[in-house]
Amino acid sequence: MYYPEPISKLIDSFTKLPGIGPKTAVRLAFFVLNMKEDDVLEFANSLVNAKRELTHCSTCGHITDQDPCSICQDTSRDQSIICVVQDPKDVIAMEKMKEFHGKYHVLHGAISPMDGIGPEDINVPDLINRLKDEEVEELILATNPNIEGEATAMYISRLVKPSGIRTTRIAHGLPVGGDLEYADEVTLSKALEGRRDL
Amino acid sequence: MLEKIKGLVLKTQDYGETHKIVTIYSKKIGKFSAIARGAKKTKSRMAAVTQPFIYAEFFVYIQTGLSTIQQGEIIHSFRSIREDIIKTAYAAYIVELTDKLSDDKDPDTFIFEQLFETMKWIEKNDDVNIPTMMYELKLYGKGGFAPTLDRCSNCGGNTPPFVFSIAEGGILCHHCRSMDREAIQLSELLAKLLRIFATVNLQRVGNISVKKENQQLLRQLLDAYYDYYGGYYIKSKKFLKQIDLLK
Repeated sequence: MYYPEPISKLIDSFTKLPGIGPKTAVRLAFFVLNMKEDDVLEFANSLVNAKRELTHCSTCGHITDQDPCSICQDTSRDQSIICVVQDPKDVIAMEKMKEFHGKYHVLHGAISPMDGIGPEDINVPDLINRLKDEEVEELILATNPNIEGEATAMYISRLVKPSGIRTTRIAHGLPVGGDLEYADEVTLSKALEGRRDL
Repeated sequence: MLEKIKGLVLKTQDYGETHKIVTIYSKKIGKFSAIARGAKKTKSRMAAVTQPFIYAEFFVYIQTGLSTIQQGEIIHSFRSIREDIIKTAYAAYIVELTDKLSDDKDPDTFIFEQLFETMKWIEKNDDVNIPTMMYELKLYGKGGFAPTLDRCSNCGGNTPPFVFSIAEGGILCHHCRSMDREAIQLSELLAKLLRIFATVNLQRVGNISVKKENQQLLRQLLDAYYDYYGGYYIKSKKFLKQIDLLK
């Protein structure tokens, strides 16, 4: 009402983003008005392209602009290890580490007893099909170390173990740079359990 | 006002990038929600203490609106529950039921103790059906829809054999059983068991042994009763049913 229609529409669009309230939306909208036209066009194109061109890889479920994704196409990667993660962002985090050379499987969520999200609501059936088709020797369960992540890992390991595939869980314990004296008992006991020979 | 409160974490909800809103059930002030700032960060000292099922001592800045958790110290983590998917499912069910059927800041020592004891039972034992039902029956009273189990819900009489009528809200005696044609036939033992379940503290129970078919009948009866009177959809029940298929 106070703004011309194009800018009020822009403000409305910004408020749809997470963490953006009405005041921030106004600030962003006015910032866009002061941007160069080329930059605005590039920004708009990036938004549209991200939505239009990205899809989920039909093999691993990771976001990609080509199907299958570059990781699944890469023949130099170890085909016998699959790392199961909850979210595409977790794949990026693992890739930044540069030490894992196997493949991934993205679940797009986790089993959550509290929210009534069961195994059928996440990408588990595709994982089971992959294990039947591909020659997998190890499945690394890299779900988050919380109730949902643990429940998901337990469920998958129960399903997969009878087939004889080695099922492992990522280690839990103290973060690098953390302080032992400030660690809680759950973290410490997990760290102690997962100790290894030097 | 800063208070030291011991309580069990019922649920958590993400708030913003790094915060969590934690719902806690305590003996002192009942159910309350508080924000734990930065609890989602990897190195946060509150990351572990704000996980569901954790029993801890919280230092909470109590306010009229949303309170703030300043610190927390784990007393009992119920670790073996979170490491077993079936136990997790049962614990999630009783915790969600507690959250739905209890009001904010309405302390109830008995319910708190029963919740804690049921969690301890789930942690130590594999057969958790009966303690779960015992806790449910006690919680129905908190929700205001406890079934009448000590006498006929119509005439107050005590003449066996009894039937359980969902529509009449409890047991019916031999004379009143015709009031509800859909009432479920109860053996004398089952009627007695239901009465015990609704009143006896779990601490006083050593070992529970109920036949599988009787357990199933009681489960169906409680499910139908809750569906009729409960009013809230319990999300973890769906999960519990899915997981039961795993057994």
